[in-house]
Amino acid sequence: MSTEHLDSRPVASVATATRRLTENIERVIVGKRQAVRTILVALFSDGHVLIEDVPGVAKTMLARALAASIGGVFKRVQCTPDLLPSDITGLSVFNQKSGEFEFAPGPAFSNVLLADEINRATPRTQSALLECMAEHQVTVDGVTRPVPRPFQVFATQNPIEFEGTFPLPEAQVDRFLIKMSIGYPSAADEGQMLVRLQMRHPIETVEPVSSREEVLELQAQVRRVFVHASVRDYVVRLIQASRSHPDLALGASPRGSIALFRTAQAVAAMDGLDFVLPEHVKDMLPGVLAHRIILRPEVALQGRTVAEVIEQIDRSVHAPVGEKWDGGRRT
Amino acid sequence: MTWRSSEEPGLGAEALLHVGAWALLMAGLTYPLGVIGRFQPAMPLVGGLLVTGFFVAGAVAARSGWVSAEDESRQRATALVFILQGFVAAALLARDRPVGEDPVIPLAVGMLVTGNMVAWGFGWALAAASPGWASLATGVSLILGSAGIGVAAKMTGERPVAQVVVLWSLAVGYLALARLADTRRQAAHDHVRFGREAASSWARGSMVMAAAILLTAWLLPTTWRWLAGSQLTPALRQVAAGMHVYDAGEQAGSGLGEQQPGDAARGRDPELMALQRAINSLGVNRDQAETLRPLLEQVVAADKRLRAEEMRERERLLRGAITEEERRAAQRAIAEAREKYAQQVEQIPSRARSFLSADQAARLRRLIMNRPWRAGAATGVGTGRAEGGSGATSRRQPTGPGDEVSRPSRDRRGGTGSLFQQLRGVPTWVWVLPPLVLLAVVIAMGRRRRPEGVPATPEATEEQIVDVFDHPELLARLSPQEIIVRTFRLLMRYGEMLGRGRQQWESPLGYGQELASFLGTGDEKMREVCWAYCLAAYAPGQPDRTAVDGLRECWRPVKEAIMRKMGEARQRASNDEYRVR
Repeated sequence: MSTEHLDSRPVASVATATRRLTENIERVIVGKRQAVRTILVALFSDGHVLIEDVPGVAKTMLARALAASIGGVFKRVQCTPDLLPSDITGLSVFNQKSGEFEFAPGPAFSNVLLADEINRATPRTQSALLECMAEHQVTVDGVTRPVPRPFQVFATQNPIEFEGTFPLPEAQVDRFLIKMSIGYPSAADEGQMLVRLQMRHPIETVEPVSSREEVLELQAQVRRVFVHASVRDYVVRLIQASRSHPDLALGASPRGSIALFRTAQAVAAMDGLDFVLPEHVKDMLPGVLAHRIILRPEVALQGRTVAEVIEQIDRSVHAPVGEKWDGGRRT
Repeated sequence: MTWRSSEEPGLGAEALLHVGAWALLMAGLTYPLGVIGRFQPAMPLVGGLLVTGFFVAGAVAARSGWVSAEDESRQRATALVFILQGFVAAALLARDRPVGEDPVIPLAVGMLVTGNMVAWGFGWALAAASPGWASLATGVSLILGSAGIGVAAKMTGERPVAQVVVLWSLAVGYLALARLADTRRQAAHDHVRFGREAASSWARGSMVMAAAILLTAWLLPTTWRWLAGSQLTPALRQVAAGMHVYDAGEQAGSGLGEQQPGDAARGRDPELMALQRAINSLGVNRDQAETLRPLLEQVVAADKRLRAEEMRERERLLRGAITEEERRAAQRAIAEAREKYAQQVEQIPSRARSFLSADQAARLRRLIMNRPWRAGAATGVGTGRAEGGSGATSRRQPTGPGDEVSRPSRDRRGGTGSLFQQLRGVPTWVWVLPPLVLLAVVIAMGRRRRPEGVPATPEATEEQIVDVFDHPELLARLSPQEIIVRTFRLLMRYGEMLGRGRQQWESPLGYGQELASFLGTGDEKMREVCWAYCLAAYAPGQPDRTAVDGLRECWRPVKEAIMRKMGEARQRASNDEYRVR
């Protein structure tokens, strides 16, 4: 998008940081500009990402590259049925030397937490993530401890193997800001990837191009992006349309509205704008709605997909263009 | 109604169907009014014929290209309102007048409607010449038009018409004042909405419609009179006679003459005619009127005697040829006449109470006290003198001294006192009308008032066809925000005309991209135009004049591309048509 015609109020630092981070992450992840962009949206929106894709498409690498780029602490949890909540949050252990219990922080105390194959963990363990995802804090033995900021959870799940898995409850899914998939690389990108990996993995050479403090500042800037009343109304109408859609058993929650609002702000800031366009909302609609809506069984049996329904929702709602919205603009 | 006469091959079946439908509609609307005003059921026919004339004129004007079809359609809506107003006025008028003597109702309606149409036409003509003063011109022309009708009504001595017109002028005055308050802003809007050419077309259309209505209104009574007096078939004569309002005096055969619809007014006693009007104004039915009439005639006779005595004494005093004894005798005679008159007056309401309601009895009493026949005598005397030698007054009662008495009362008719008396006769609820109109206007203004720079939603469709960059004065007057928004609306409008209108879900940038690829041009300039809209619509703050300058540079090539595409489309359509032929 061209930005030459804007006045002198773009969120330049967010756009600059976006360029730096994108280039840095793309040293590891080849040909996945959209995926990189999506995780940066989630980062600047202070949200979590649910990645659903087949194995081996660099889900973990993406999270690691992001953590390395912002100079953050990266932790990875391989979810299995025998994984305990304390394996994520940490636990108190008795120190024989001091004769006291000391808290041993779990992987939740990191900046980027990768919960790999989260649907293989038991619901009890899954729900251990709830508090740290929503509240950015962990409570162990009655003591509440804040997790480091920024804090971002990347959870992955495999879309083809469901045996022995525990589907995430709706309450848990709703806490993820965006659901995304990465997809296979093109042949050219895959070839390029092999070249880069020939000597050693690029992740080992990734240097931080930003800092945790800068990320926190960028998140604050994103929240200051202006959203006009008509665009705000557009967000609400889109979410409400999902609730009344006949093919859906469940529409998006108010948290979905917030997510769409925040991600649109982040996209605008990443484009160097200090205001949100309807395009930004449209861009983020599939990612924000995909995991928040549930198709009716009979509709699913007919072969309709969530993506189709989301497109239908998008087309059923008037974009804020025309005299109705122009008229309200200048009040 | 979407009928556009200019698109029709002629006044074919569809056109006639529309005219018939409108005539039926008007018949349905006017029949209740006719009943209220005690018209004969000919009233619906009047309405139908008026509207028919109006439509025929509109169709001819639009077909000839002198008036655009859109304007003709718009005028139809406006004129319908005026016609309805005219019929309401006619219903009011009919309450006080037996029209059997002269079918004045269609004429009154025609005058009202015509006056309004001419006023609007004049206003729009001025608006086309000077858009800044459109509202002022419209308001002033409305007042002038209504006042002109009022003067005409006054000159023709049509008291009820004058009443209605005075009231109408008051209401219009309120409206005009209210519009003045909003004049500048509204004027700019009107100009933008319709443009100079459209305003001129509107003005021409108004004149055509007005002329047609006036002509129809003049022709109707003439035709009726001819039909009623002609030697055509009895059935036709019966229909023509039925168009005249029931005249109790004629039906009762009380010495006022046989039923002569054509020239009845010339052969009757003006006092008794005035009395007949007064009886009609009570809202009585035919039987009640016939019962009441002889009673009131006794009162009139007693009043005449009283006036004769008074006048005789006055003349003697003026001549100085009266002795003291004669003066006392005259005073006694006057006292007796007064006593007899008072007795008659006292008896009438009590005798009439057996067949009148309490309200009607009260109105009757007021009527007797006002002595409305004296005004009739004044007119009648004047007419009688003018026509004395022609024998036209042969049926008048011998009034002798009445002729003398009536002269001063004739002079009073033109004064403000007379006007006041006329206004006193207006029903109370009519007085409530002007304040209600004012209230409605104030409320409407309150709703119309909007923040500076916000275009009104209903006018958006018309705005879309105006390129603000083609109107320097408009460009100077509008804010950058409005310029940008209107330009984008124009872009969307052009897109619609090219068959690539914006879909409801499409965002500005997305639509611009689609349209650019449809036009087959580079999308850079198009993107600039859409970006300008995005800045105006979604960004904080207001765009400045530099944004307009940037938009102007981008808009020109975009518009050229659109026009080129339109030309190609026209050429293609022309080729297709040629191939079909």
